[in-house]
Amino acid sequence: MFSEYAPLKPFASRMDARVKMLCMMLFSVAVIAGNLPILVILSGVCLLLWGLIRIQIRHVIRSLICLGMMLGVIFATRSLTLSVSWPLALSWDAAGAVDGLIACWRLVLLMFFGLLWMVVTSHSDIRAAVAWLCKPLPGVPEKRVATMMSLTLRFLPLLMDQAATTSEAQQARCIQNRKNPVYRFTKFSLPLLRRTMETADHLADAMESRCYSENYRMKNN
Amino acid sequence: MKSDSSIRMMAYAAMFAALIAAGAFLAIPIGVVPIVLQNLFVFLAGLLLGKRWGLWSVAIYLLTGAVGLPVFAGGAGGIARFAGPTGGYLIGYLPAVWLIGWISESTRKTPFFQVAAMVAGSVVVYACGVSWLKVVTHMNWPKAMAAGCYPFLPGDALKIAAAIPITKALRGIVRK
Repeated sequence: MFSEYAPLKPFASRMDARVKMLCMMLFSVAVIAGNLPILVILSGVCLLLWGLIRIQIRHVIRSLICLGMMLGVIFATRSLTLSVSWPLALSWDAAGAVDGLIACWRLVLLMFFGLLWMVVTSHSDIRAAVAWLCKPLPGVPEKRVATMMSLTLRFLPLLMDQAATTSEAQQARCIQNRKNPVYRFTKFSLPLLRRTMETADHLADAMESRCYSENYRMKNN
Repeated sequence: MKSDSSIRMMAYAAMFAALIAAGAFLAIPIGVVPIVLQNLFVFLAGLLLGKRWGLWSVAIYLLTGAVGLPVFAGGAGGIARFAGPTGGYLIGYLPAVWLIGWISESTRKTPFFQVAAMVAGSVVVYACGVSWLKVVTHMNWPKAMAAGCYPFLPGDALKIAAAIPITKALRGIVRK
């Protein structure tokens, strides 16, 4: 989900990344602060944009699976109430369920807008837009911030792949039979971190050997 | 040739920002509740990178989410997430990672001080997170603690226990 940049429609890909970033910020504020009619309108806008850009649904299925678990937890915590006195009992709260549904709706919209922004914007454009955003802030080295964000976005899909590989390797070694949670945490995190730090080392060497400097020109500058 | 440590640390900090983002999606299924690894990577950023670069990694993660990229828990993003119920936890990562890094740098590299640093960091995260949760949801303190703190404490204890051997194994790899 983090590396799906696909310039599928010229109008969306050619639009200035700064405009897209500001739109995204406004959308997120509207999604969180908006009432029901605003959520309906934003859902319509979201569906329209997804339809116009024609992203294949398989691109978002994995994200939806991740999100589904979280939505379930959010809905359950809002709609179920645990009595604090003995005997403990779970009770269903209709108002809480509606509240939970709206919270889930907001989260889904945020995810779809975020994915949309990533799909139609290249990493270099995002980097340039972030540098532009940070430029007026005193004491913030905008080019370093932009470069680090760009590196973060490059690392994300790599990390997810390495995490999946590590997880498969651990399962092949029957890690699920181990009951000690600290052992499982360590055996999952250590190889993942070791590999990613080696990748970061190689990247730093590559940047150094190419005489990386923060004083280079970027788009929009 | 003398190596430029700032480039290396920048790459490490960017990698930890990516790990913190990925941590929201990486879960270890223990029992029926999967435990996400986000906090663990925040702890490790402070312990391994120190206060300055640890702070950079968390700041980059938060900025990436603030501009709308889907890196916050559940694949959400956007500046408005900071005003939502979980905004306090996100902001709390900044002082927490700085504190963990500061304690780690200014004390001996023993498990005792590392645990102390992570416990202090967790306290800061929950202080910011639960306070903000209480303000946003208008809950009273016991309810806010029950919803936003107590259920996560066993998971945090496991993460702190796991962070010790991980830090020990990786400290030699991080070339500052």
